[in-house]
Amino acid sequence: MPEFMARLSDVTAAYDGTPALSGISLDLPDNRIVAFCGPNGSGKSTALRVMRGLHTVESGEISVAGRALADWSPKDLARQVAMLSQSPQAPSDLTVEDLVMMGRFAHRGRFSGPSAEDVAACGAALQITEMTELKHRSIAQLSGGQLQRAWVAMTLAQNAPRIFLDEPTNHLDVAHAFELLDLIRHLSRAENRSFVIVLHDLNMAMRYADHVVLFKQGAVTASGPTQDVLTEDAVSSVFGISCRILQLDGLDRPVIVSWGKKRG
Amino acid sequence: MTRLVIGLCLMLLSACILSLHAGLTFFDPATVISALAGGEGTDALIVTTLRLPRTLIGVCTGAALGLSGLLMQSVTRNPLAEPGLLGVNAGAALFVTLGATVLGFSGLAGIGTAAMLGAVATTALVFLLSVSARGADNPATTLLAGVTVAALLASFTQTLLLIDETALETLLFWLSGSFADRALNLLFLGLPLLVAGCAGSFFFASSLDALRLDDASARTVGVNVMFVRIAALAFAALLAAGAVAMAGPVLFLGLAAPHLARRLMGDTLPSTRALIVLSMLTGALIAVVADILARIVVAPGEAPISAVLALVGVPLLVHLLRRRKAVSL
Amino acid sequence: MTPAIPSAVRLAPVLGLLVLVTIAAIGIGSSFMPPERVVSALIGQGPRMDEVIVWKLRLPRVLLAVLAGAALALAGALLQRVVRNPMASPSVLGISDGAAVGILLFLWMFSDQGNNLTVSVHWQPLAAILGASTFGGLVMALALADRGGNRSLKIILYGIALAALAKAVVTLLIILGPVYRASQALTWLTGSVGAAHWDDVLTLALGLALAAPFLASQRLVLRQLVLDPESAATTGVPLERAQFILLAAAVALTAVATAHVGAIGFVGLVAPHIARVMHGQFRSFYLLSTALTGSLIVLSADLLARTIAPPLELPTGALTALVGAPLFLYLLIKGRRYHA
Repeated sequence: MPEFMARLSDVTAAYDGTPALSGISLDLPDNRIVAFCGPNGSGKSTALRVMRGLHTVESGEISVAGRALADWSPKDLARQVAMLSQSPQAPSDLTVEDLVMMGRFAHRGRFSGPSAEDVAACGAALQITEMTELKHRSIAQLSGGQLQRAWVAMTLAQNAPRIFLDEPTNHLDVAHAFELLDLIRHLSRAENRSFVIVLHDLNMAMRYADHVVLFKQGAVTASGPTQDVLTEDAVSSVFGISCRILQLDGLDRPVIVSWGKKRG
Repeated sequence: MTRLVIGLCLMLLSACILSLHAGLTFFDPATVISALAGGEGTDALIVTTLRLPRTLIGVCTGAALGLSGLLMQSVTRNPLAEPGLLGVNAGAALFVTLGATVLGFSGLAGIGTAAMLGAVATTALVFLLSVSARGADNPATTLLAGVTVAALLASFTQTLLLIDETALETLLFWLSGSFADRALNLLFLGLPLLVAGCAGSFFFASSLDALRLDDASARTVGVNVMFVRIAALAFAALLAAGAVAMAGPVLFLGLAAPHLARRLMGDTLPSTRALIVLSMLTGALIAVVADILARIVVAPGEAPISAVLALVGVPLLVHLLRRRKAVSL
Repeated sequence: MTPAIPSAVRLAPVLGLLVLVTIAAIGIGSSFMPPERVVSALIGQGPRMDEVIVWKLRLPRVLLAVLAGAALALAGALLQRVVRNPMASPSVLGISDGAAVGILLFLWMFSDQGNNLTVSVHWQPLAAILGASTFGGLVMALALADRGGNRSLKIILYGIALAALAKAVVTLLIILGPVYRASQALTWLTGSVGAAHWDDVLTLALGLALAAPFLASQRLVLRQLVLDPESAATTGVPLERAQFILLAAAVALTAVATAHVGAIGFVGLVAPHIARVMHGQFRSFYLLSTALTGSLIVLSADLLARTIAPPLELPTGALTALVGAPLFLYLLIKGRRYHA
């Protein structure tokens, strides 16, 4: 029996009466990089939020890491699933180091200071996101890209085997975006961690994801191995664009080229 | 929106008419009309020298405080912001108390002028402090500077009054805030400020709409954030200064009227332009209704207006909060 | 980068100042006592007369100021984090006013014609605690019953509504209640440590002793609450429960303090901010620093209240701002850019 990172069955969710997810069912494989793709407002962020218990569903059932969402205590869930939301906020006088240590909340003892393990996890997270040099800066003193990497470091410091990232490449230039995705791939392969990532760039999804879920208008139109899902037909119908998928020499995955809105 | 404004206007008008009739003795419409037409006698005197002034002052004070509170909450993005947090009331009270204890005056005109000067001077001090704290672009710094100055001045006032008990007795009617026993010519102080504040608010309305976003986004759509913030706070202070000159320190109205106005439209947040009108109408309406009740609840005495305002406004606020699912500022 | 001063060492200035002001406050009074006599009386080496003055008369008052200041400052720090608003304090959210309603109802219901209480005055703190918990509980219940939306903003809005309601009830009770109780009520509303007894000191000390381990266990949660609610939740904070119990703790601290010293204002608002500039809000011992700052403000205010216009003794609460405001304004202007 395959193990699932998360299962959603017939999940419906809404914001103040405006429907956001209409009865979606999904099985997400463990130890993979899963990408959520789809147009704006198609429900991919909402799906991520309900999977992490940040938004209450109207109906349907969700289980994460083999247990129903409602059965997890907040701390236990945080040790299993870390998440970086789309626009996180912290006071501007917080230092990077303190921010990253906040990721250790679920592991820290109630009365004691940070343990050696906490310090090591933060150090590793800072190292891997190249923020070690900047750890004494307050977050007001960071550029947009540095700030994003500080938050990624905080999420990684949580040391959870499953990590949800909502548009993590926001504010990152192309080089840093690829670096982050390479890092994610490394963590997935070397440490068997699972990722769910909301990605806008279809080529990045094509290159890095093992499994893609396509959303459209609050429903799932396709879910499966990347190259089975990201086909010319599927992409052009979900996004309403004209596109071609081309195999380039020397690349193991094809690239998607599009040239505007679909006519007709 | 139009229906809501017309409805509020009609309610305000009826409240004003009722306010002319109601009190320790209820007059019939004929008495009121003849009094307004220049009739004579005790009843006419009561209507023209007592009830008419307090009604008009109630309307102006309510509108000014409602608008002032809206401006404060909009530019600071803080739901706890209210005119008193710029030190307006505390400054006015200190100047009035100093005027009474040191200079020894007690006339209403003197009190009104001292109140206005105190309010403006204190706001200027608050701005100066928040600029020297390099916090002019950080609304929280302005609010903290304001609340601290207000507490400091209130402490001075309280000490002065504790030491000089006669001043406390002569000023108590003013310090507790009321629309009663106020001369009609106080409107010469308050009305120009209300008109100026109103004009200023409409002038900055579209900038205030943009300020609902974060500062950076507001800048990218072309708003000079710091200038708009300081200008709007200055208008808020002027409006509140006019109000305190007319009625003395009135609490709660500036805080609650904008929150009420925001929730009148159901689930959508009205534009700033609409909110300006709604806040003024809501403020004026609650002020007049509360003033009528203030005459009645502890008759023949007069209940303090801030307390009655809370009794009228709080149930309304809680009701509107519970009716609306999502809240935003 | 600033050299790393250990957080515990950063407490030294405020702690030192507090000790100095304490000795001064014990020494200053109708008969002046120089510091060395104060210290020898405190350690039981002084003349009999000094010991009586210090232990019977002055120490309870000084300790009450210290404890009440600490409790109010802690309540303010909790509230500012829970509702994520730097302007929050026990008095804007209706807790102090709730306590006032309790006290006034108590004075009103249990007074006879001769201006005497018909029950023991020892019940008065209980009335304050009941009043504060009723209003604090109402705020929490309304905010919890209200699903969806921004919980912090809801707590604030219900808080200001109920604060206004409590203020109105207080005003009406003063007007409608027995006249001879009005001045007593007013003194209580401003707040004073003048009527300190060892009983008050012990109850308040007990309250703080109970709160201390709880606060120590919640300090990480409290720090986590500076993140946006969603990020706090993903790191494992049980958000709703945390907000609820911290709010309840703030209500309890305010209630116990106001029950014994009245509605002393401004400390709860400003002490957390002073501690934040002087100490740093993300360092360890931030709460301790806040508590010590609160103690220092109320103690200094009371010292001033006794000495500013002798023989008249002013209520302590009238002077907390006189002490706290200049200090905070100085820090606001002098301090590095202040992030609220």
